[in-house]
Amino acid sequence: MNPMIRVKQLSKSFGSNTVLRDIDLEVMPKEVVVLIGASGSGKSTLLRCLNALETAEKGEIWIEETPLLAKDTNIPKLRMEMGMVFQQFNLFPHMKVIDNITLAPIRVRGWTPEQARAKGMELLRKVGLETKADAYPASLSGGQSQRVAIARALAMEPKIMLFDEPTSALDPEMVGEVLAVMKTLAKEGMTMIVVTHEMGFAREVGDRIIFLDQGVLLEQGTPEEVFGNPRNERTKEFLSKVLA
Amino acid sequence: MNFELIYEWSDLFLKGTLITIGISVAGILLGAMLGLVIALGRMARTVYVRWPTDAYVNFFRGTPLLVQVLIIHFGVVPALYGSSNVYIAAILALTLNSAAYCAEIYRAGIQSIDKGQREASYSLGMTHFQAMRFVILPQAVKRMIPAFGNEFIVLVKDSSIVSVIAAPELMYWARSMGAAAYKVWEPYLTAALIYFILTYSLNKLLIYIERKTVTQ
Ligand SMILES: Nc1ncnc2c1ncn2[C@@H]1O[C@H](COP(=O)(O)OP(=O)(O)OP(=O)(O)O)[C@@H](O)[C@H]1O
Ligand SMILES: [Mg+2]
Repeated sequence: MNPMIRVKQLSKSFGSNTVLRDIDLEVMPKEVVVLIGASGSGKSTLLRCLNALETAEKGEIWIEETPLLAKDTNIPKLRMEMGMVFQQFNLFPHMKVIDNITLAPIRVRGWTPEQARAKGMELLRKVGLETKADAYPASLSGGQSQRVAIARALAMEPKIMLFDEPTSALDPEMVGEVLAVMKTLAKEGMTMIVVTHEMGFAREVGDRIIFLDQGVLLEQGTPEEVFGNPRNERTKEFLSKVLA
Repeated sequence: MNFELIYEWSDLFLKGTLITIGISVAGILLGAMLGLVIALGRMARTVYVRWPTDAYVNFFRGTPLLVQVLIIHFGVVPALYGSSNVYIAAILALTLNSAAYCAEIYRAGIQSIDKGQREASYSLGMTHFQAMRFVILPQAVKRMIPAFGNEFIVLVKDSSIVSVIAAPELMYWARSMGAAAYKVWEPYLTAALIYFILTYSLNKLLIYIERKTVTQ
């Protein structure tokens, strides 16, 4: 089986600040990879390099057979295969929930409005929000907003889902509903990369845990390996802080 | 005050007022369209697009409208058509001038939209153009309405400048009356009152529209 994502010797800096150093990473189809690390360690930047929201200056990224950093790569087309969920939801406030979801399928994939709407309603049912189709984002709670954002990303039928701290902006009582949706997705076999501080979720749903420290991929392994028996001192230190 | 005299000239004042409204509306509408193109140009990645559009805005904001009107009437329009036409010259000058200000309004409006909106659009596979068209501009335009309204009010007043090329708008007839009847108060106060009524009603309309869009 070929990897879904391949990253080779990826480096990225902002000015003189090197944020990612020589990252090597492979993600297999249906794999759920959880990225952990302290604030500022480069987790978001790595995720954003994968769908070209940031441009890495060195190294290689392959999404299936497509070299992301090649000059002639059609980036919008590549992004159609990769959904992204943001910490701040980034729903389109001027559109109803259902239109948030159907916009890209209609305009980008070229589906008919009926087709897109049917798919959109199916996804809203899946995230438990079919009654909110005609609501505006401003009237939703944080947890509901994030579930709509997940449905919006799924509507493009991506092969990969990227999550950047999807529950960090939520009130504690709403974290569960979003994690539940993500858990379902993982079970259905979606390839996922998740940045999160929810260690319970990482342990339960993650196939592989990756620890980033100051832009370096310091340690990776199964949840049992990384949580149960971390090899690196920095990993131990980080885990003792977040699990305390 | 000689009201009889004003009454004698009232047909011409009315005609002038309509022309003032006409060239101002044409100027703001065409200027808003051209301004969008220029604003997008100023945000382009390549300097070859950015430089000329920057220069455009700097020129039209940095020189007096009077000078622009004269250059366009006596220079640009004759060069393009062989001879000048006061209507074309007036509308062209107001359009080019307001486009520079509208471009700044668009830029400020577009930049006021959270960058997460653009990133979410891109992450769904939208191109730069699609993100602008479906996500950024619909939100930005709402925020721009007050600024466009102000620009329109300024343009109605500034359109009086085209009287120097004898475009027969409101100010032109006021000046004609002043010269023909050797009067000062009657023509200029009448013109001032009409301009005031125009801008005052516009202002009221603007407040109404703003209230509508906010409660939506
Ligand atoms: N657009 C940017 N311009 C300049 N520096 C940036 C930019 N984005 C991120 N950085 C810097 O890169 C480093 C890594 O940031 P990144 O957001 O990837 O960290 P993170 O691991 O996601 O942290 P957090 O847990 O706080 O989200 C930080 O030092 C940050 O200040
Ligand atoms: Mg982050």
